[in-house]
Amino acid sequence: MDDINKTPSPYLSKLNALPRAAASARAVLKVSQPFTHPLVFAIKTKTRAEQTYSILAGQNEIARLIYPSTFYFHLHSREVVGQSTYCGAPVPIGRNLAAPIRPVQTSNTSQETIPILHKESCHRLEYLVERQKQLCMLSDKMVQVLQTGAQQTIEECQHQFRNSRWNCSTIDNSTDIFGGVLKFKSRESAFVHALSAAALAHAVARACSRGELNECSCDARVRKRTPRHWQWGGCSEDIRYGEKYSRDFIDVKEDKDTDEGIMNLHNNEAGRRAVRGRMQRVCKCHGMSGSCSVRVCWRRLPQLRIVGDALATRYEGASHVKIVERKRGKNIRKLRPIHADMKKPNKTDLVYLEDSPDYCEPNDELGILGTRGRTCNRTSAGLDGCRLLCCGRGYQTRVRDHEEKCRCRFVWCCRVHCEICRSKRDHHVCN
Amino acid sequence: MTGTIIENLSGRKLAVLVTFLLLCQLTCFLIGGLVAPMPANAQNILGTVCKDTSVMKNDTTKWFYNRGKGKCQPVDLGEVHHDLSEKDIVFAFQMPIPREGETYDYSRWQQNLIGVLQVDISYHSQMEVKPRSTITIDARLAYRNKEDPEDGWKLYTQSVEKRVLDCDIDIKTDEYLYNCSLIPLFELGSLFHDYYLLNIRLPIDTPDMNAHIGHIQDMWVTVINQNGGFTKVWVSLKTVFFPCIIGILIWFWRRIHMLERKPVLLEKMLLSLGIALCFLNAPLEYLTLQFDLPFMLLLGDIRQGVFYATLFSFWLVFAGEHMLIQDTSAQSSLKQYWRHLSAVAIGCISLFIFDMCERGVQLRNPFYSIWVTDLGTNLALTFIILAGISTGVYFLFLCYLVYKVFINISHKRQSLPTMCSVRRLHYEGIIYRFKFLMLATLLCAALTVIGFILGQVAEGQWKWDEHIELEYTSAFFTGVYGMWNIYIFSLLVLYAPSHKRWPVNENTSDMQNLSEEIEFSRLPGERSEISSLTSFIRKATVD
Repeated sequence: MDDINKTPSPYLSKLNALPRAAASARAVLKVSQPFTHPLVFAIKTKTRAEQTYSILAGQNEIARLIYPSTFYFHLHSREVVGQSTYCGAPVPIGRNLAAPIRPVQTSNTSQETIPILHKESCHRLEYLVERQKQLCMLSDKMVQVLQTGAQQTIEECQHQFRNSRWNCSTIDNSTDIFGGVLKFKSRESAFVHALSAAALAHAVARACSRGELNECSCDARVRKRTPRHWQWGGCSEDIRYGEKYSRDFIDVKEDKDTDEGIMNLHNNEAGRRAVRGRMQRVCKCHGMSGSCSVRVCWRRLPQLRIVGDALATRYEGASHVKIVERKRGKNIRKLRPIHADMKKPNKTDLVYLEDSPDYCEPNDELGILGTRGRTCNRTSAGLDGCRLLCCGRGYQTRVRDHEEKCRCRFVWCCRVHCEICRSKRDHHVCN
Repeated sequence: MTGTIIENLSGRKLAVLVTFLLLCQLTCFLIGGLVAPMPANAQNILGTVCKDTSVMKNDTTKWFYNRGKGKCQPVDLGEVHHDLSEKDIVFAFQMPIPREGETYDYSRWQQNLIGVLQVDISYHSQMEVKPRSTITIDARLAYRNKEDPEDGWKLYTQSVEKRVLDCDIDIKTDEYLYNCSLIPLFELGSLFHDYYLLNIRLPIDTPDMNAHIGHIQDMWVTVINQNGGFTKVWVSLKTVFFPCIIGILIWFWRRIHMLERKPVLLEKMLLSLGIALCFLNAPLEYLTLQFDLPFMLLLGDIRQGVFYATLFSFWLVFAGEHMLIQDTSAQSSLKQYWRHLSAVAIGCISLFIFDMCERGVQLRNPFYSIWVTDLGTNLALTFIILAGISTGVYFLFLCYLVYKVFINISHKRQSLPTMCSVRRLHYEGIIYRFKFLMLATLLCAALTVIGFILGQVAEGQWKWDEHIELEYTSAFFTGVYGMWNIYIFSLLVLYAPSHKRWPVNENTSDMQNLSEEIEFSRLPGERSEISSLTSFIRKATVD
């Protein structure tokens, strides 16, 4: 357990959502594969045996289809005996933790056996602290919600950082899912923490709306005097419980006395606020004859992509801060801008304490893959442009056959009729 | 010689009465603001996608839900399912959602249930959603009660409906969601059962059906119900107001009957206004606790409509009766006002027809909406515009009448200095009190409008300090409701005939008073017991 405290990382670094993430990390490494990102429609991947087409597929989708039993928790190496046995190939949690691997109970037709995690598995997730185990035990579906939150964090992180030197690559046989990248109190770390808190709040709120979690609270928004019964005054929005849960679950691991702790707590909160701040207000009139004399309004949960975009903007403008201790009275440690003339960060801003490490060159120790082999955009002057992405090492241009689905016609619900368009395209790959 | 109470009431008594009524008004406002919760509550329910494995798809005994015994097998729409067709996909919405480890059920205090559909459609450059495309929904609603088994859902209603899907998108990038407008789905006038279940399918019976709706990721149904607490506060208010108004109405009518003359038009109007208010006040909501009354939404509309129609007509007649140029020989009747009143009538009738077309049909099919078809939209718009125009015409009429009354009064005022002092004081008092009541009416109307606008601008709660939070919307409703009750209560009190005699024994002005009375009694037509303001006016016209 002490190890966890030494390497602060968001909960998802342990609650891993491999191999979706792992597959894309590999995709970065294996340049011979015709992976461009982000793919809208699935690309026929020649190196793989399966020719999977998916309507929504980016690389992650393909990964998921290839590995049906995807979802497992990545475990801390010290806590698992025989950790090397699952290097490379994703193994369901059951195999490591002797949890029963159950097929989906009613799916006799489906050949897939996705291990469904149950309440009992919470106790076996040893990297969770006691409070987190309690929270995980709250509801039967809670483990799955936690998984969803973790997966979506990685998916979203990889989407937002697809053009950056560090593309949120994950490493499946390391102690930390993001390698050692999050050991730095860097901007990236700030972003990942914020995003993970946001994604968990989002996932919990969605599960509440679906009615999957029985524990979602029903605090009437104001009014503590009146009976706290929903028949009297209704319930609060699901996002409030999502935020509360995320605060409970994620923040419990942070130590308020350490510098990282303060920074992470701030960023976690900023992430949750990004969800709340992006909620969209909708109203419906239902007065006399449907007029607006009586109107009820509620707020819709934003798409996680929108939250990710917002956080990415915050990441761009993140504040470099330092910890200031106030000796007078109580020992209060506060975040202050590193230069006095800079704006004081508010609650929605991301903050970081250290500069980022060099992401250009591979660094096994930190789990940085480097930008070698990354596809870059020759014409772009931005981060994904070849000049910046390749860190000045130059790039190679290759001509590739490109096949993609086009002229698709969607038939509700489950079919897509597409044609395959072939073209030759230039690929620029960093040296 | 008697007049109405307002003319004979001393300034001090009037002040006491007004203060008392204002206190009542404040109480109503605070009850709404401090005791009642929000009027309505919305719950967002995210649809669970269920797999319908049955062969017979039209079987309405087979229901899909995600909680409890016999729950369905969920499907992830993000994946491609080659073994599924559109007929196998069911969106299930089980309401209400459990909270705090309890399975909540709907209480009959929650009165009604309105369902709104929102569809999350993700953007694909290859499959753009055309603006105003039509979505066809096969919606089935089931209910269950507490004593039923967990899989004992029974069909409530079923319908295949078309709705317009109005979507646009700002960021035209894949995987972003369209901004789709709300789709009104159903309205239940009574919330009689404990649990409800909505199953939605998107059928493809013809090649064109549901072809241009893009890729649906999620479906959200927002269910809106009145809050039980609000209903309780509201019904309590009604229970208090109802006997009060009934009582004052009986008192008013007895006073009129004690007179020798027949009631005049204004008094009849006041009576009908009181009856309309009683109709509005009757706490019929108690019946919904015992019986399934789906027509309550419609009945509520009708009750409000009748009240507004009577109130608007009363204002017209009130202004018209104080018009100074009148044929004094004939007793005024409603027939004289047919032109003015026809505006009220047309407005109310067109709104009534619209309401019958919408909420009336919803009694048969809760999923029905008049706005879906072009014909229905045009029809509904016609009636609404008609109602709007007649409201406008009505207010023009009313303003014109009030303007004329004030012009006439100011004319007569010029002749006041020529009168003797007692008479002048008396008439000045009458005019002052008439204006006072006009002012009260304007104030009530203005407060309603301002309160409404404030409520629209500043949503939800208002904070006074740390501890007192005001639920503004509820306070607005109870405040306005109380205000019109108090307004009509005071009208009934102040315009009831007074039994007080003129102060004949005052020594100085004895003769003048007597001569005045003689003058009054010499007036042709009506007897002496008409309101003295009217008699003053009529006398002036005779002069």
